[in-house]
Amino acid sequence: MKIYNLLITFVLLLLSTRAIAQDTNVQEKKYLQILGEGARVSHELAANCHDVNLDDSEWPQFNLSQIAEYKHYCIRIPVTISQEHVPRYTILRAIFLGSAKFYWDGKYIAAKGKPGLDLDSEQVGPIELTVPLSATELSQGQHLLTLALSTYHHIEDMHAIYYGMILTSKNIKQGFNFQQKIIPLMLAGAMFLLAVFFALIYFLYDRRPAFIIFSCLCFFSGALIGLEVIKYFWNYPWDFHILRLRIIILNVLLTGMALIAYYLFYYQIKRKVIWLSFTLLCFIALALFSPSYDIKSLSIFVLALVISLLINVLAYRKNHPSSLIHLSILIAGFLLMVILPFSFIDKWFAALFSFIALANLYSLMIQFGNEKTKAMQSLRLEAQMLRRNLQPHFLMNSLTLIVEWVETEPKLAVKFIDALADEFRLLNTMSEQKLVPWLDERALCQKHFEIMQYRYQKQIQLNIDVSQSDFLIPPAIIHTVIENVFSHNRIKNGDIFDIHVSQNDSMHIKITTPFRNKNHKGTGIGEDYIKTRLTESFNTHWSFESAAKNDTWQTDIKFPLIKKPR
Amino acid sequence: MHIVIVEDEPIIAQRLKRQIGEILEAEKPIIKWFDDIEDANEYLTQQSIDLLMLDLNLHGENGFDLLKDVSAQSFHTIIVSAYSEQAITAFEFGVLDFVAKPFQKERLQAALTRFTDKSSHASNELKQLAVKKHDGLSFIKIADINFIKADSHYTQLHMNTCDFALHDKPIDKLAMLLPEQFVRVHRSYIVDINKVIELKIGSGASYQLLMQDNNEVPVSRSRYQQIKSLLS
Repeated sequence: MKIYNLLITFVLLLLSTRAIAQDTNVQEKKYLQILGEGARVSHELAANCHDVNLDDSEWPQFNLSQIAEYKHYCIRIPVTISQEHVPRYTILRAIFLGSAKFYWDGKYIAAKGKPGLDLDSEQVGPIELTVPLSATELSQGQHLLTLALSTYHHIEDMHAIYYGMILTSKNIKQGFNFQQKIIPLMLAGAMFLLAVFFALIYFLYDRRPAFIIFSCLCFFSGALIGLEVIKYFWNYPWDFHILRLRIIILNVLLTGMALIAYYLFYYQIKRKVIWLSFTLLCFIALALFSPSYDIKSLSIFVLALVISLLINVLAYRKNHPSSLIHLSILIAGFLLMVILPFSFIDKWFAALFSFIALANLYSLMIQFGNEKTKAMQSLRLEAQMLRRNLQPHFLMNSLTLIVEWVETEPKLAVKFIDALADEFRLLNTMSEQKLVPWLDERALCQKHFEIMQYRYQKQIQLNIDVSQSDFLIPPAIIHTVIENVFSHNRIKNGDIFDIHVSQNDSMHIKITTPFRNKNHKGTGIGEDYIKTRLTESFNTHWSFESAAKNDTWQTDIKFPLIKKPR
Repeated sequence: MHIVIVEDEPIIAQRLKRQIGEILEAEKPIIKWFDDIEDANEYLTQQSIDLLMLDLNLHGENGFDLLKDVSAQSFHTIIVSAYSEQAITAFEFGVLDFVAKPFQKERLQAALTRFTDKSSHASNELKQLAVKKHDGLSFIKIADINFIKADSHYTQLHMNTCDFALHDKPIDKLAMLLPEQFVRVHRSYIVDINKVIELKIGSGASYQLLMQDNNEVPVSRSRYQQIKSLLS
């Protein structure tokens, strides 16, 4: 069962990421020529930079990937067109973080901002430039692409600011873009929807921190995907690129924190502050000292996953019900990370989140179901508690008593009716609550005892030994114990009912009562009632033991201490 | 007249004792009270009594257990209980009446009248009778009974299927529990008058009833006229 769980999750995750990753295999059927080979550079402000006839053989050879910040360049790139007919609509596409003017065979063709010799004279242009070139311009033979390029608007040293320059036919770009856009967009939309959904759950339904944290998690991961795909929709100024990368890192960091915080609150792990501050310190260290932005994101993602996995393992060892499914998702995520190529890390992360969100929705629905059952159970308990005093045995015998006393001793009848009314009133006010003050429970027990004394006409004693009375208890559980004693045992003169309450971190109530029923079956409706009430208020953190001890019946009830609010 | 009350609440027992004493004043009854089934059982096996007033819930124990335990039910039982839904079961155990709590003197009087008036028939619609077998209780439908024959302290219930079961009440006591169609035709016989095929006159002025199961039941001379008029 458990292995199936893991397998199914893994396969689903694999399929979804595969679907997302499909865009890698776009065939570049048409025309593609990478430019840059044999480039020569001059750092001087060469007036004749774009002159076709200039002899640049003295200029140093230059690898374009070495273009650096805060510099001015004159770059001359020889281009050899070997094909006789280059397809129509072939364009020059250039992506780098810098301003430049482009010349083809000495003729100005386009500008990407305005290059300059310093910060003031340089004007920032878009990050990407596309220029259509005519068939004449792309005739077979030798051509020359020259660029005046400057990079003064950088705010920090990047390791790579040149991404590429190509001649390509237009169609590739279009096909390429559609597939890459649609799936991340859908994912981002789903994430924002989930963020709104869980925020609504938090504000309108249940103010559990895990919900609002998960809402943030969805929002951050949606934003992350959004920041990733923004490049397809907006050819932003190249100096914004670095800002964008910084926002992405911040977002990655927030997402990681939210993921860990979510699991901490979801499983109610102790010492959350320590976990979170440790994580935050590690994240900041990774963000500051990792060599490149890609490695920064990746390392933060991986660390966030490792810590989440750790938390889930802790939760699994504590038998938290839904830890297994989360654990499966995370492990599957790890395996996928190894299998999938590095460049899909952001999409993979998004896919992972959608699965965590699904698991989350699943446990939420389970919770809804449980709450519905609980609500119905509370109603049932309430009814059961009230009905107990309407049991024929109790009610009809009491009425017979009243009839007898009305005829023989009317004053006694009045007192007895008063006692019955008091017990009913107490039961009625207590039945709607899950926990009642001890003093109410005590009053109920004493009242019931009084009624039974009237009924059985015996000299019996109820001793209640309690040091502090400021705690809460599920309604009518001690009352039920006492009631059971009367309905299952012959009561004799001199019988003593002892209730001893001790209180430290938890409550321990010991009830010692007479025991004369040799064929006592043990559990009954009364015991069920007590156990259900204890479960309703304390989940599994209680114990109930009930057994014969010598000639008495001893009942031990333990549950956590909850102080009565002042 | 010897009456036993089994009731675990003293005030209710006191009420029963007082009211029975008043109603049966002329009979000068001896009334004994037990608040526990075990004690009552012990007493009943040693003493023969006339009437048992029985509560059904005694410290969580079932009053019917007493009826199962007591060997020959030579006495009549009146149930006094809060559980009126148990009435049907009670009649199946062959009790004379079921008085629901809380009860008034008038109701108790009606029940006791049925006990004192030997000719009375059960007013209720008794559907079946409990019969003790070696493996517990089994129930016999009244409609299945053809005739009843006295068998020392017991009675034989003869059924349509030609076999019979032993009931542990003497025929006089049982007669009081049965519906009206059961007619005493002989000192030792009761028949369901609806299941008689014909009245035969034998030699020597003896009379027999031919029943549906082909058995013949003797009719006493003193009752002949009455039976004849019932059948015509």
